[in-house]
Amino acid sequence: MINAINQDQQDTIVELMNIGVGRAASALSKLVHDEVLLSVPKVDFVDIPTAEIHFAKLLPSALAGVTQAFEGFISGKAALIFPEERSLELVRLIVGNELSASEISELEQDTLAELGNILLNSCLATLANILHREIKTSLPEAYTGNCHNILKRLCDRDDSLIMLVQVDFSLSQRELQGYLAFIIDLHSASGFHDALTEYLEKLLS
Amino acid sequence: MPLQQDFKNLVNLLDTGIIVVNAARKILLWNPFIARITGISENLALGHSLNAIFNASIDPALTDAIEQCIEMKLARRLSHQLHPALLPLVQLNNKQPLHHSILVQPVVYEQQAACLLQISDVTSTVRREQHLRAAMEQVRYLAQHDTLTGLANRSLLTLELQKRCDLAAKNQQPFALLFVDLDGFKLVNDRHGHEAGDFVLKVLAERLQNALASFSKGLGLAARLGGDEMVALLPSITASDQALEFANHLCGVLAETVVWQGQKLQVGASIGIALWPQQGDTPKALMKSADNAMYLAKARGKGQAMRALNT
Repeated sequence: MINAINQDQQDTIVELMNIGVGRAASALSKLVHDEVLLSVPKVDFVDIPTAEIHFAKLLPSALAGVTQAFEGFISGKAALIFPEERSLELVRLIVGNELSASEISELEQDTLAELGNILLNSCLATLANILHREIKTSLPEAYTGNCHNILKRLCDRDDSLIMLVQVDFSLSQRELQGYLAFIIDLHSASGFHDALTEYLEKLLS
Repeated sequence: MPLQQDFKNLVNLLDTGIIVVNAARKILLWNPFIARITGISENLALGHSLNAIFNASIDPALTDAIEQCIEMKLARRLSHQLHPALLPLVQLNNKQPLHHSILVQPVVYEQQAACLLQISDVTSTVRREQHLRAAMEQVRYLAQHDTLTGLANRSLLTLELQKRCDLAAKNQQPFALLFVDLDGFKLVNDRHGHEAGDFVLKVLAERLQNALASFSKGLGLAARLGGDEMVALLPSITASDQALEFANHLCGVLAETVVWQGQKLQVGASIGIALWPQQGDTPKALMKSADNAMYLAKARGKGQAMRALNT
């Protein structure tokens, strides 16, 4: 399935993610009254074991993030994944409170969920809009755990296709690196493939 | 298809505000919880727009979320920390703001695309957190301050001194440390009791604090190490002469009489001065130099300031 996405399609996805992330950055900036910069995302299509290797290499074992289900022309789960310590830092930077990581409150979990929600919605809506397809998202949930648990939670099947998007956040001169992972159900991957093919054909004609 | 009675009963029992609006933003469902917290009954709400009900004082973030929900089927979570007043809701008993978070989800209701709003009252959570935060601040303060005088304690001084040394090393910017030891304090304690001694310490700590504040524009730190020993950290002093001038001024201020229960009590201070980096470039070395200089000042007859020797 991974091979089914060709270079042109992959470039298109990077472009769409770039737009989505850019829109999210402007929405987040407006929300926190501070400039939020999000880097040009790096996109990889991987299977679960490869994703696990990726995470193990680049992230500490304690992770936190936000997950959200989506369905429509593609279905699956989207997740924002941060090192746990840093994710709380993001919330603290934004709401300006001085509690330490171990004191993360209910309300902060809620805030983190909303930040992830904005980012994930923005990427998914951009994909759907530009590809002229429909997508429906569900409510975000905040979670914590190690990378294995998180991937297990996100993928109920072993053969899912994972679109891994790496984004760097920058806020108030602080750097924060996180991942967006879109776990696309295999049975809907062909819908994604068709939408991309159609879009590229229109673009070229 | 109208909501089955069973389900309607369930919705009525929920401890969460439930509103459903259609694509034209007209209210289709308004449960008893939302009726209770808004004071607006179901009859008055149904068929009207949210804007009309809330006098157009809805946070634009919520308006956007509803629009995205209806137009694009995107679910949104709006947290109270990021949006303090999504809807103009107040607590009915005291008119204080009612803190709330809202979940926005696309649904089909009565066979049309609609938007479900779940409004949860988080006021008690917010209040609990405020108490917790205030308590933590108090604990943090107590852990770093001397309870009698309100000056920084040894633990905060150690922290700040290390920070100051690191910064000084980075910017090559000298600073001064004064070691202050009271003269004649034991006599006050012995003659008039600990109550008088405590009073003297409080008054002199305040004088030290004021002198520091007017001299260093809020940059300095005054600490009590215990007993009658105090330390002043002076980031704005970069030269030895300047430090001596301030220390002499301080000797004068601290030697002014203290009136306790109508009696004039006389104490004074001996002060040792150390400058970073000539007289120590680590917290430990600086403290040692200033302490030695203070003993020298005592030996020379008290009530005076002495500079430490270069290390």
